[in-house]
Amino acid sequence: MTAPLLARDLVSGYHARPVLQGVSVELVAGRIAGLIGPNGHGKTTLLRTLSGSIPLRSGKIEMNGEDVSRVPVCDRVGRGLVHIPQGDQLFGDLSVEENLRMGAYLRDDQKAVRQTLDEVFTIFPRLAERRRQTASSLSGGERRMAGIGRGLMAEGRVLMVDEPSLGLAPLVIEQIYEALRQAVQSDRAILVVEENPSRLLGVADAIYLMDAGRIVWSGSAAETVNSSDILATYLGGH
Amino acid sequence: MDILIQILVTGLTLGAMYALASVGLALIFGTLGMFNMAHGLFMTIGAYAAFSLSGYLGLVLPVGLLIAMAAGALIGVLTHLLIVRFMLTGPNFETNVMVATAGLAILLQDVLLKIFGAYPFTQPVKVEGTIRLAGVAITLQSVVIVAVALVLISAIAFLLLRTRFGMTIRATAMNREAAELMGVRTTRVYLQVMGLAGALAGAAGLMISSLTTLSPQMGGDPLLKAFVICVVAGLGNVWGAGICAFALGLLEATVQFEFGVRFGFPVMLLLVILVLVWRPQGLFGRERVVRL
Amino acid sequence: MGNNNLRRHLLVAALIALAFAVLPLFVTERYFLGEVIIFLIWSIVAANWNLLMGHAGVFSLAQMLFFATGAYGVAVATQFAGLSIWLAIPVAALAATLLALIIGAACLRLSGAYVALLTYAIAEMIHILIVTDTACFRQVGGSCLQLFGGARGFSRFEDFGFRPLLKADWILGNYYVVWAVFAFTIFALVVVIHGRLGLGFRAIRDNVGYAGSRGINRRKIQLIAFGISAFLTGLAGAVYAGHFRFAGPSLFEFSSLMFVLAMVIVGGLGSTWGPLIGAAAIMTVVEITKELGDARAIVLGLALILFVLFLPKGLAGSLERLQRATGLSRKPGPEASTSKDPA
Repeated sequence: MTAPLLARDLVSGYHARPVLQGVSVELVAGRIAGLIGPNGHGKTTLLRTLSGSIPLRSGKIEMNGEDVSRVPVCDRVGRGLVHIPQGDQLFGDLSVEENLRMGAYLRDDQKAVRQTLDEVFTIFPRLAERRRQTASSLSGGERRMAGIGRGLMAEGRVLMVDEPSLGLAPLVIEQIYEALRQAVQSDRAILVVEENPSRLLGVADAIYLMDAGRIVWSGSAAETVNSSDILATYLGGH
Repeated sequence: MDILIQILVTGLTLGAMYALASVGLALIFGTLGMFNMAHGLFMTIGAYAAFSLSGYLGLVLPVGLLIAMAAGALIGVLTHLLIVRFMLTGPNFETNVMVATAGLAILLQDVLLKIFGAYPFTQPVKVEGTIRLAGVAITLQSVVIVAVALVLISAIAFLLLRTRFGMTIRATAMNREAAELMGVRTTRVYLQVMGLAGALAGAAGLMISSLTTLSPQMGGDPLLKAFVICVVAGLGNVWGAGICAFALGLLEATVQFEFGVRFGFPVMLLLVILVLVWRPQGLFGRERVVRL
Repeated sequence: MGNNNLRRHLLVAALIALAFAVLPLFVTERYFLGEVIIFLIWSIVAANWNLLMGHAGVFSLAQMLFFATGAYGVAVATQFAGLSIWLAIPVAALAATLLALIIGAACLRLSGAYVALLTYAIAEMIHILIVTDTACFRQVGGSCLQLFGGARGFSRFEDFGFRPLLKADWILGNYYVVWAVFAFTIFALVVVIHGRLGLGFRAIRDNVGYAGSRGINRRKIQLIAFGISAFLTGLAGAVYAGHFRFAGPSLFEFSSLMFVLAMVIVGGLGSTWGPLIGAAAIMTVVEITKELGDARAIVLGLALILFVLFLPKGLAGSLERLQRATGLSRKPGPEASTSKDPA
């Protein structure tokens, strides 16, 4: 079976400065992978490269065995790759419901879209309450819910989430991770970026540790627990 | 009373033409962040297209309007495909695109001059006749202009606010990168916006030429007014541009009547500068976004 | 490094000024000297626009308004106020500066495209007011002359007065007057661009917020740039009027604006010497295409579009790249790439 998303030796970055220096990752359907590492070492750049927002210098990205390295962003979304970016990036003047509907932009079956919308509202009841409000009037936690919800609306097979817990109250974080756990039930492949690895323990099936634009360590959840000294070296004792 | 009606009719007619001209300009700025210096030429080309093609296809207004809008849309789309597309992601886009479209404007104006000459043709596509309202004669063409503007602007408002297509345009205007992550092909949205704005400009050109005459530089004056309207409304504010267009049209008509035609624009501009000193982001504007 | 740069560019300025100073020793043909005079004038206007747009980050479209103010200032002062032309020139340049400071105070609260639109609208408004003015200010030779010359403008007024003095060589007198303004301008611009003020320009262009926290006031710096640029441009307009004995609305039509804009863009926006190269290039191309019929607007339009698309750093940028590729650059490596002034 081919991986829903496979990246090999990615090199990319901004202007003249490469940030990623040969990164390889593989996502598995029905599994959550965690990407951790200190700030400013390429985690977000990796997601942006995978989604196509930043052009690839060298390396290869495959989805289900098909090379998508040169495929534009919107067509990668069409193939089921959904990137939930850092800082939510909501459409501020659209309502919450319109934001969620934009998430299903490429889906034609409006009945199925409405069903997904109901599912998202079940996961995040707060969004149902706020559905007519503009996104810019939401609180930080609600924005994150709207961002995740919008990503879920696409029904993509691969979900990449950038720092879902950043700056949120523990209760909201719990709710968001619960949503991701539910999402992976339907055989999706999920990649979650966090700075703080403790969030991912118990959630992620595999962990990648990134430092200075390279994956310096990777392993299963169990191996991660046994290698806490490695993590401590890189992350300063979490 | 007669005078009041006269001023009102003149003002609304001016406002209608300005609205058609500036709504397209605002739409382009709001979506692409680009100031289209060639917008006046889009209008001129619409007017000339109706002038030269409607002879074959019938001189009735709806046909002429369709031709003008199609020509405007075509030139808008071509401008995007041949020029704008290549600079969108480059550095200094805001300055560069103004320079390039200004270059396009003098280029196209000269081409029109070489094809049609400087002779001030009259626009054959228009409605003749007058109606009387409370003893004041009003040309039917003025009524047509106001009606066409209202219909087209309402159509644009409906499109932007009530359709999926419009929602996509607004989303792209608010956050291009996020729209792409939703699977929106934003280059196509930009193309559509350029076509849409071009069509509005074409309609504006036809209406303007029906009141004055055709000439290669006929787009200059309405473009100048549209500039000022967009600035005072807040760049990219489509809704505000429509309202400001009518307000400034009425103001201009009043000033022209009170102080003479040549002071219409200066007073308008002076007022605009005062508004900007008070509100630097424009009357309705915040940042560049298609706002409704 | 900044000081080094300044010294190097001052040397270049001295060499350029010297070259044009000795030019009449080798070329005496009146037509050619006339062309060089026009070149010097457009170079000044283009270089000052570049100072504003390429260095201070103000996209003003009122450049030709300041040029016209200089020319009109000389015309009005000599015709109506009876001033000598030598006094009228600085007065006209000061008038342009004053106008710029007023317009700047109104516009520079805004940013980017707003400034461009507003400056354009103001220049157009003044153009319209002058062209549509029909009220007689004074009767001249049986015909009516408006305060600002109306649609026809002023012509045949007092020039520098070299004709009776130098007889057949009168154009040399005009040449050196224009040369003096040119030399003064290029030295002034080098000092501004590569001196302390230029440092402020770079700070606000690169990061407005950061510059603000370092005590650099964007509005104040841009206003100063506006004033300097308008003063030197007004000076150019004043000597233009003195040379051609003409000041009229055609000086600040849209097509004149595009003519000079093409020089700035083709030469290289944000460079030091680009506008001079651009002025020479545009004048040459326009001269050549004259043979092919009236293609001026088409040439300018194409030049603007093509350069923005393919050579956004202009000819100066290409020259610099050539220099670096052939290893002739005097400052190799990283320093050359951090400095934003090609050529």
